[in-house]
Order: sequence, then structure tokens, then C-alpha cells
Amino acid sequence: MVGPGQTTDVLITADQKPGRYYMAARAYASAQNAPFDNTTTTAILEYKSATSQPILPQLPAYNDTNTVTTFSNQIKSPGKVDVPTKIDESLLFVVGFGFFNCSPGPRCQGPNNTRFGASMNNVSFVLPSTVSLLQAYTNKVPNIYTTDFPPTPPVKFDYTGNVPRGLWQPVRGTKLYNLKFGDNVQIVLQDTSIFSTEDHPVHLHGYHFYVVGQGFGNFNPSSDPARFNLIDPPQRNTIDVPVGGWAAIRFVADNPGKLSLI
Amino acid sequence: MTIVIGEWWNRDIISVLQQALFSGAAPNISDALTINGQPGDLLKCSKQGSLILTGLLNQWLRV
Repeated sequence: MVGPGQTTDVLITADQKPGRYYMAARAYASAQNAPFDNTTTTAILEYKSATSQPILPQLPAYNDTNTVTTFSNQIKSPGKVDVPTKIDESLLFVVGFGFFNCSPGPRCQGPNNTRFGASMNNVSFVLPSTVSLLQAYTNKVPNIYTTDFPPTPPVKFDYTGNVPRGLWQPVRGTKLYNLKFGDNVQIVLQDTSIFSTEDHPVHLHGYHFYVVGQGFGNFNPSSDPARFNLIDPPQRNTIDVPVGGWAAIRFVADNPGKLSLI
Repeated sequence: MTIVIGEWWNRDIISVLQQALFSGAAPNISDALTINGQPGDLLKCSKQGSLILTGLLNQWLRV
């Protein structure tokens, strides 16, 4: 499984009977009641001078989360790596769908008279229209952003349970969170069941990070960290947060800038 | 060589995005998944080409 925005390098040894072999891909669709493109795309890996008809491989079911989990858990770094252990900033970002209420009409075609959105810690990011974040910082342009992005969800709730409708609408804003240069940062990304649970790809600009843990349900800060892989966790710049679950990442904040986590 | 797994819409992709932003609904789903821009043998519209495997990349439509 490779999630949107992810890259995976693979090495294959061409040691099979010379012939033509299909590679095939189709969607991993984890959301409930959400239409998706259910076609299967193929390409052919072929040995020189091979002419045989390739055989279509059997692919997992569209919603086979068990296979996705088993596959993801196998991916590790090639050897022991240097994972930050003394954490300076321990952050929890609840990520998922958000819905903006609107009056019925052509601009209000989301479910139950809403407009689709998404949020992290209940903030739906608004991109400034006049200057970039870096320009605003460097040239001290006022009223472009605030630095009060919440380090943990402002309202704690049962993130993967039945979420009351009152929590479905986020606030819009251009909110940033400041880190100190050299901080050891841990971010736990937590999916919600607002509208539906779904696996969410999250990319961090400017960095690679270690994926020290993943799981299902609500992250438990008492028991889950004991099971983190701090020896040879995989290194990524894009993580696919498990459906109805969480992923924990660690990195050292040593690349200054205004860097999006999207 | 890189392998890009993507999606194909039988429509101007910018109009798919604009429609989603205008209506507030989710964007229209794609018509076919693709490997390096081609749907492959299961759909009747691919070009022939050769393939060497070194990496995999998944594209996304960011709304």
C-alpha cells in the first residue's frame, strides 16, 4: 500500500521464469459511504523477448485494512537509527473531516446542508491571499497569521467514537505553532470518526520524520508509548494515518522556516 | 525510472477542482487509476510502452 504523496523505493531481483508479469493497483478505500474509483490499473514487467500472456494478480479487497496494517508494520529502517528520546514538544493533532453549515443552495452541496472541509485540532487552515507566511514573518506584515495553533485538541472527546454534531464544524484560521530550533518534537496524529473514519495522508514539508508507532482507536498516552519502535522505525515525509486510529512521528526541528503539515 | 500511481479524469482536472470548491461537495471521483499515466489492459484506452521498476509514487488531488 502506498498512500497519496508517499514514495517507496523497491528493489526486485529478476529471478522468475522469463515472461511477462502484470503489476496492478487499485484503491484502498477506508471511508464509509464514500464513492471511489474502483478501477484496477495495470502495467507489464517483461523480460527481454518474452511473449507470454501475463496473469492478473489477486488484489486485497478495497477495504482490507488488516493487509494494509500488516504491510505497513513490516517497513522499518535498514538498521538502528538515532530517534529522539528526550522530547521537548509533545503535540497531539486531531485530524479529520469538518463541515461548515450553510443555507441550502448550489454552494452548499456537502452532506446535510454543509460545505466539506477538514481540520487539525478543529482549525481549518486559511491560506493567506496577499503574502506568503514567510514574507509575512520576514517583512513583519501584520494580521496575516497568529501563533496560537493549539498543541492539543481544544476540546477533548471520544475521537473515534460517536462524535456529537456540535463538534463537526471547525473554525477557520491561519494559525501557526512555534517550535524552537533544535527541539525534539513528537506529534501524534489522531483520526476522528466525524462523518466517517478514514485513513488520512499527512505530509510534513522540510523534513523526514520517524514513524515510531501506529494503532487503532484513541491514542493512549499511558500505554501506547511503551510499544513505540525507537530502534529501527521507518523514515518518511508523508504518513497515512490509520483509519480510525493514530500515528506517532518524531523529528528534530533543525530546518527553520514556515513549514506546513498538510 | 519512477512509477507514478495516479488518477485520470475524462475532464479538465481544474474544472473538477473548481466545481468542488464552488459547490462545497467532495470532488468527482476519477474515471480510472493509472500507472505512469496509462490505465492499462483492463480499460480500452492505453498506449503501449515499456517499463522498468525502481520506485513508486502516489499522486494526489489536493483540494
